[in-house]
Order: sequence, then C-alpha cells, then structure tokens
Amino acid sequence: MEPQDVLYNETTYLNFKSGNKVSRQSVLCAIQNIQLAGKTIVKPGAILRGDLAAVKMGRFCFVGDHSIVRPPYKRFKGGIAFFPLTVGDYVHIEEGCVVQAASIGSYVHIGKNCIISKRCILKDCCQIEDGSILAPDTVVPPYSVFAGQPARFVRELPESAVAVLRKQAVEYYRHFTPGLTTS
Amino acid sequence: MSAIVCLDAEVSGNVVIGDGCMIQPRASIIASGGAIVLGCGNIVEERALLATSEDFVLKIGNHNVFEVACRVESRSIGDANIIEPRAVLSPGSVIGSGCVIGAGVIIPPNAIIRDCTTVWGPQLSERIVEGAIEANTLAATRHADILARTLPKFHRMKQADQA
Repeated sequence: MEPQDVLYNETTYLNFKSGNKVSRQSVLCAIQNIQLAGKTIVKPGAILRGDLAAVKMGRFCFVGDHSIVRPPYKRFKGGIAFFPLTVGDYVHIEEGCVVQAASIGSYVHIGKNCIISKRCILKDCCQIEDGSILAPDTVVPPYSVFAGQPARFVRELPESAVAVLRKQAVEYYRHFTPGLTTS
Repeated sequence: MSAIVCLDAEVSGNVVIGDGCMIQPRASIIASGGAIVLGCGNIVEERALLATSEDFVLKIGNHNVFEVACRVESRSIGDANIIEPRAVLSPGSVIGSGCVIGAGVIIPPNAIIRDCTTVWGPQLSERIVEGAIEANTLAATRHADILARTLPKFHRMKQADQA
C-alpha cells in the first residue's frame, strides 16, 4: 500500500541543505550539541536536549509531535553524569514519547506515548508498541517487539523487518511534502 | 546557590521558588488556585506541570526531582522524592519523604503515600526502601550541581524570584 502524503506548512519548518526538516515550534536546546545526519524530520512541540549532553541522530529519523529526546544520566558514588545519546538511521519516534535511552540502533520503531526510561539500550531492528513503558536499563535485543507496562518481550520480528522499516522511513520522508492542501 | 529559572519555563500566579531550584525549559508552575511553595534544591524538568486549581496551598519540601511530563496537583509533598516521567499526582494527594513514584503511575485523589515508598506499575505496587531519603537527597544535590553548571551556558534565565 502506498503511504499517504503528509502535508506541512513550509513557512513553519526550517529546511536544511542536508534534508533535515525541523519545525519552528520544536525546541532544540544547545543546537551546537545536536547532530542530525540528514533527512530527519522534527515535528512541532518536540524537544531535543543537547544542553545536557550531545545528541546524535542518523539519517531518515523522525521525532513526532511533543516527543522529548534527552540524554540519560547515571548516579555514581561521586555524583551523577550525563551521557551522550546516539540514535541510528531509520528511527521512527511517534508522538508523545519520552526517550532517555543510552543508545538506539538503526531500524527502530517506537510507538505513540512510550516512555523509554534512562539508559535503555535499543539494538538494531526492534519495535516498541504504543503506550509501553520500558524500565530503566532495559536492553531490547534485535528483531524483538516489546510491549506493556513495564514492557516485556512479546514476539519476534521477521527477517524482512529491516527492509520494511527502512522502506517505511524513506517513504515517510518522501511523502512529507510542503503545501497545505492537496492539488 | 540561587535558583535558576529558564526563560522558556512558564511560571504564573503566586509561586515561591526556594534557593537552588532548577526550573528547566518548558516546565510549567501554574498557581491558578492557591500558592505553590517550593523548598530548596528542587529540580523541575521539561513539560512537568505543578498546578493548583482549588484554593489550597501546594507545599513542596526540599530536593525533589520532578521528571519529564509529570503532573502534580497534590496537597503537600515532603523531601527527597522522585516523580518519574508522566506520573500523575491527583488533587489532594499527600506524598511523604523519600518516595519514588514510577513512570506513568497515577496516584488517585486524596491518597496518602508514606515515607520511603516506591510505587510502580499499573497496579500501584508498593515497596518500602530504607534509607531512600538520604540517597535521594544526595543524588538530587549532585544533579542540581551539574544543572547549575550547564544550564546557564545554554539558556537565558528569568530574574530569579526571591524566596
């Protein structure tokens, strides 16, 4: 099935040469610490916290409305420290999520209203279903689907998932077109 | 150490912010009913909401951490608590000291949470953790120290309200 065009108002987005499309209504704290590799979409109301530690996102990523991406911290004996957050390519974060993971691999789909607690590690090619809450320090292995509160393994993804998730991400970006109404 | 209130944060109504509080961008403290009194060294993260709707004062102790997108409409909150992402403290609830309210937990109206309780999961499972007050106070102090160093580098500040 061909995905529908998602239309956006061109004046409310910043279009970068690298293909990033960042909404003017999003909050990017400390832009010098945020690295978007290209063709990444940041929707209105999203918050990326680069001031606490560096945030690095790959290509064809998507951060949905009102999602928050912030680097995690860990308590040590001598104090606490923030860690940089790395996100791979083709990562789709739906709306209303709170992401405090330590690292997110490539080909990851995070459903609506999820909470990815501190220092979770999401490996390549995995899926988190809508409304899940991942407990701190959870590791999500490749080709797995997690759901629930707290989120647990529910099923495996087929080997074709990489291709499917990559196609979804690329298609979403391709169909994210300027204009308010369809012609 | 003086309080830090980022310019992006929304503070309205009768709000008293104690020394060393860190109000991060896009946090809201809205006293549309009674006043909100924050003690020392509290950390309020982005999109957290502290609000009063009825005519009572919301008293918050020292060294609490209100994490991302939590919603607090309690009657009183003690010291050294951690309110995790998207937790909801309904109106009239009373929280002791050293409590941890887990991610996504909804504390019902007029509930009383005793000292050092950890609440988690959809069934509101509870557990008492000894020595939580000291541990949480220490962690919150260190957390505030780091924020006091990093936040002024990247954000514009509001003129701090005097306690």
